[in-house]
Amino acid sequence: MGIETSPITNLHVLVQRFVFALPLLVVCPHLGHGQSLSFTAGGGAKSLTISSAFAGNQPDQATDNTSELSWDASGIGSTAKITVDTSAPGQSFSLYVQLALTTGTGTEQVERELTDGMADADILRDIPVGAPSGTGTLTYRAVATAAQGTSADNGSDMHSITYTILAQ
Amino acid sequence: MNKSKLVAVAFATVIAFAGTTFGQQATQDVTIDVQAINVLAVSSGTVSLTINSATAGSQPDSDTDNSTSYDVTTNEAARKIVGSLDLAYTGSVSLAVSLAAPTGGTSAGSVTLTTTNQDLVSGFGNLAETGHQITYVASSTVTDAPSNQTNTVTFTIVAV
Repeated sequence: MGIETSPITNLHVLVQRFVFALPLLVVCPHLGHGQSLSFTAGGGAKSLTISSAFAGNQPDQATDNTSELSWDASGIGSTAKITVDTSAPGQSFSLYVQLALTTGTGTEQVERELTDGMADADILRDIPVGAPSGTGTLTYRAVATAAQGTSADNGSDMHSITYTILAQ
Repeated sequence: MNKSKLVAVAFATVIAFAGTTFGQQATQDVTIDVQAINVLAVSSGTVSLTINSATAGSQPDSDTDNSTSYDVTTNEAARKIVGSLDLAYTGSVSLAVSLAAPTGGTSAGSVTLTTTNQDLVSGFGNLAETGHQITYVASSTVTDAPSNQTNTVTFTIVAV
């Protein structure tokens, strides 16, 4: 498709330029400046090990709460939320995550189970335009039953977890 | 491309972008490692059996205790429980034990304990269960003088 470079001399050209410019005007607000989501602590890879049990009970769960998320939704321009999803091919055991607010405003959600190929699940909602930034602690909880066996049988579960901040 | 097609393409582009969600993302890798777990516990650490009666003309009556039980958790397959004494009883005194089997397992029945491990239950795995009965039977003959002997029985989960 050619781009008209000659001076605007008639209505057709004016319409062309207006229409090409319109998508950019719509898109730019969504890519707004100041929108961020990152780990401010414990952002590296995590390993949860299940290695004990009380006789007669299922194996003890393993937890990790050393990760802290930080966000700034000011570029979104509307009420925002944070979602989570995971990729864990061949998953054998159970993994859950919950976000607890440390600073900022929003509505904490119930603990989410992370399963391979899951749809995005909300872990924080109602981040207001007036208070778009905050921090929160992520708590991971790994669970395995005796019937599910060991990593020696099944291999260790490897989750690649993605957190996304976006308009609610 | 005439003006009407141009307008249509551009408008479709506007709609597509407006419906797309743009979000900032952060990622983290989490690994779950489940190690082998084999634990067994008995309901009481002490059991006392007393031999103090007989039918005239017969050996002393044995004494039986079935007041205790065991709980077991294993996340491995093909397990068995073996049992042994730390020290042998002296004289004719003997102690036999029988363990009820957990789901899928087979009890060896009453086994007279020695200082060498013997199979008590075999062929179970990947379970967490409670309350399986332990039955002890103490016996002796008239050749032994009265005595009081305390020994330790150890149960262990091992691979079949």
